[in-house]
Amino acid sequence: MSQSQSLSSLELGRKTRIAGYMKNCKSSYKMKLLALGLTRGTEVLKIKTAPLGDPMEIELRGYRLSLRKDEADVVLIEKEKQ
Amino acid sequence: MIIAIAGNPNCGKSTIFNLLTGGRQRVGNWPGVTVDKKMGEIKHKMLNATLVDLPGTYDLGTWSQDERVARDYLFSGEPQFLINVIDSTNIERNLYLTTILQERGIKTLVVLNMIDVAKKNGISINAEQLEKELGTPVIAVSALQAGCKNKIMSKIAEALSQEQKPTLPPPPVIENEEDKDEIIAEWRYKRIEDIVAKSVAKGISPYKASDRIDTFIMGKYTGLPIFLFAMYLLFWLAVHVGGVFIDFFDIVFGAIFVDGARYILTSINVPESIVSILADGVGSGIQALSTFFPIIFSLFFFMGLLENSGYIARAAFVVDRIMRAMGLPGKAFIPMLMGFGCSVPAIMATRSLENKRDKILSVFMVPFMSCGARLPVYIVITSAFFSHYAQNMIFALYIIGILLAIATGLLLKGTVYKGHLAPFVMELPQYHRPKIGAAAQNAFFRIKAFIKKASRILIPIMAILGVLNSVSITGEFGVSKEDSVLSTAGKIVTPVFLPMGISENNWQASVSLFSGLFAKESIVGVMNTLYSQDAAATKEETENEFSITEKFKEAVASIADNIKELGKKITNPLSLGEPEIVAESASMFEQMKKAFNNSSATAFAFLIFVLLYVPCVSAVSVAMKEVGFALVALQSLYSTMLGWCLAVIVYQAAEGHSLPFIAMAALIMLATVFGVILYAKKSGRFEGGMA
Repeated sequence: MSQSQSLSSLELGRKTRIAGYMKNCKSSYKMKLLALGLTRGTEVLKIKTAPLGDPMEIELRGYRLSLRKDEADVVLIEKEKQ
Repeated sequence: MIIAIAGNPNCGKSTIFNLLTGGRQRVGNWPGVTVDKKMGEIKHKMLNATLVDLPGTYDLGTWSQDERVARDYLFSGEPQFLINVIDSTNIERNLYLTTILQERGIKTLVVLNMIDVAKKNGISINAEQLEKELGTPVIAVSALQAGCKNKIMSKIAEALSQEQKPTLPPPPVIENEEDKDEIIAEWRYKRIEDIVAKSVAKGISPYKASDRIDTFIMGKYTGLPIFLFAMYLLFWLAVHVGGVFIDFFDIVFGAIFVDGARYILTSINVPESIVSILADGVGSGIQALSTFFPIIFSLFFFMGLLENSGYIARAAFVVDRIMRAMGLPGKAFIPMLMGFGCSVPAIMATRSLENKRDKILSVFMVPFMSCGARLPVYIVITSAFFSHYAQNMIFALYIIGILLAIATGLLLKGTVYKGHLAPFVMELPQYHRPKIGAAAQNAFFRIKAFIKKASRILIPIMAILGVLNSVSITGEFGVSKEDSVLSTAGKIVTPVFLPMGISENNWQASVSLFSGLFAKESIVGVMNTLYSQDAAATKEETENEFSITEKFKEAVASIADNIKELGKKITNPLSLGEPEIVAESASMFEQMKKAFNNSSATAFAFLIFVLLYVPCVSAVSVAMKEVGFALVALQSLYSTMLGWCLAVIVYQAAEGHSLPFIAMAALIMLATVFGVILYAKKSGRFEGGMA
């Protein structure tokens, strides 16, 4: 999965699927994000970012979630669909 | 019987809890941790039980304190039944916790809450189908509808009488796989997706309207200006509308509990010592308590309006990045902002911060915000010493406070609270028309909580201080304020302030600081009395016939007067440099200037100390309820030491030019900072809530 990029780099209004987690990701983060439904293969859509670029809001599983850049950094996504 | 209630944060769990228990609840602590344990009694013709509210969680892992608490309690075997509340508008994620709860093997009722909102969003849930899929009883409710309690109660009774066989098998056991967490979570979500596909018809996105508003309200260039404007407006409304009524409460409660009590007690020949304790002590404690009602009400009322309109969550989102630089989550801007109005509601507002760490940090930072009570002190002293620069000097004091708050945040963040903030999970609600009733109800609830919590600490302390303020060192009661134990203590400690330029014959300054413990604005009143040496006039006033109707008229008139003043404050939110004050007290100003050796450096140093020394008794009382005695004592000590050192450095740098004093103050400051860090690291009191 060398080509995968992190969720924080997803462009506004784009959809993609979650590919996994960074290897060095803290377990506490990962468990929380997994419980929130950010499992592999889940479709996510980036809705908005705060004026300072962080945090950001995504839509998944029919609901919306705000994530800080730190957290979004550890989530890997499939390469953006063109 | 004991029933536990569990669910995701914001699923409407507390609404269901209040519905079933009729709002009667008691709050305790979970063993070994500082997470609130809320309990209430269900009294219903079908069933009597104790309902225990578990912390809102998404999971039952071991990573966060809340999850550990919920998990341990469910394992303990104490709860015999479980109510699992689910937000119907967000069923997929909410069912994740359900699948985990099922593994505990406790009989469960799944309550689909907010079913009306889900319907409105076009989501239709087939509860019977869901019941079949989950293997546990399911009931769809809207907590606001009549008969909801009966519906839930009969379903619980039914569930208790039946065997339950959850259809969800436990997840596969996976070991030694690098991604076993992922595999288990995916396995669970796969099952949920299947269940949802069979029993839920998904609706349309409810966010469209809110999204349109958000492009402006949270826009890249508009977001921060709108935030600043909204906060300015909120603050202005809250402080000034509330401020109109402060005098009213002060006069009415003073008339009843201090003057009235004294009048009645004296007329039935109660000894002076007891009159003093009851009227000047307990009575003035109640009076002081009452003056906080208007500001607490208005701050929480206007904040509540913004909150239920959906804006506060967005504001927290917008400023999260900025607050995080100080080690706090976005939400913590609320107590900080309120702190400029009054520390008491500000500290109460730290309750909404989920993590203990955020709460402690906020309680440490809030008192540095110059509250409304400190402003009159700034105004009087700066107008006496700085005339044309008065506004700039006041502004400087505000900035010093803010900078120290930031420095404190950075200091604790960099030492005690190293590492990341807890993962940030926030849901931005849809915009709603603000609900006035709900905001008012919440504001009243806050006042009730304030009375309940603060009075237990505040009134005894006020009683003691009140007695010390009216008894002489030889035990004689009813002496004038100058000869009281408190004043004597003030006179004794005066030399402590020598390094900031306050000479020993200026004991009035240090005595006024003691009265500032009651409420910081009283520094001005005491200075006025002491410097103008008008003891005779004060005596005359107290000898006047006491008339409660006169007092009440005066109280009502104060509201009208304050409303008239309001107009002027629109352009001048802090009402700086009001000329009347200058004109009225010219003679007092002369006395004060003389006492301060005509030194503006001393005056400014004194103001720095006023900004930073021990917060008022009321603020201390509520803080103790939030974070405990030890941390409040530490904060007070830390802040007072900083205040003294900074005042000394400023005075010596500007006027005293004594290097030894500067060096000493700097050393003490360093020692204080290191002391706090050391204590914080060793005591373990700062721990908790880190995910």
